[in-house]
Amino acid sequence: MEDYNIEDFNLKSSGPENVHLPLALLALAFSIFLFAQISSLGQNGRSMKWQAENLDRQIGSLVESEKNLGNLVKQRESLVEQSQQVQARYTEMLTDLIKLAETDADARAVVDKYKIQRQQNQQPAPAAGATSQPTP
Amino acid sequence: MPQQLISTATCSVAVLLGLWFLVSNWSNQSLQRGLQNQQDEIQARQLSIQSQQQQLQAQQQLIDSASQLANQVGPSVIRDLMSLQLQNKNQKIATLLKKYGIEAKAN
Repeated sequence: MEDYNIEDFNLKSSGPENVHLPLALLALAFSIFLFAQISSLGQNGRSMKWQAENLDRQIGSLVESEKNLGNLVKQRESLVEQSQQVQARYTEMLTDLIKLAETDADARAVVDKYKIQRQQNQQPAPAAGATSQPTP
Repeated sequence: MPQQLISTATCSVAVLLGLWFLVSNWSNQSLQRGLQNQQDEIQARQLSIQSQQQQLQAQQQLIDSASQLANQVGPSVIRDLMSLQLQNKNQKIATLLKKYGIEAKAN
């Protein structure tokens, strides 16, 4: 049987030099963990940059659409103004016609034919059937 | 001595990686904030476009309505009124038409 000196072994294993190995292993494991995390962050970062580029393109497209729509709305303003004038003129005339229809049979006939009636906002409106052309 | 060197080196690498991790994390957070801002801007612009589209639709409805009145219903009503005025010599209708600058004449 071999003779082991237990006291010598205990003194050697608990010495300050032997702390370095577990410490190095711990640091290595932590480094591997950090490296994995950094790789993951890098991948996320690349993905977010790609998304940012796409969103930039989308914003550019929306800005262009917004500008085009704004121009279209401005271009139509004069046409809208003319339409409002036409509508106001006809509304006034049809209102007078409805008033006249209360006392005049001919006016009443026209109002009935085109089903002209006052709307709730007091504007006379011909019914859908009124769009047909009159028979000569 | 070599053990001490190895442990010092691995600890240094761990510290450097820790710093790199922090910097990467800050960078990603900054990118995340940027994305959020872009998404907010997109949402705001989409709302603006939606509002403009509604405005355009309202304009189109007004134009269509006026066009129908001016090209179909209005002329038909006026023609009928003129015809009745001439047939029945209706002075009330003649006055009404004259008010709007329309004068019926027999062909």
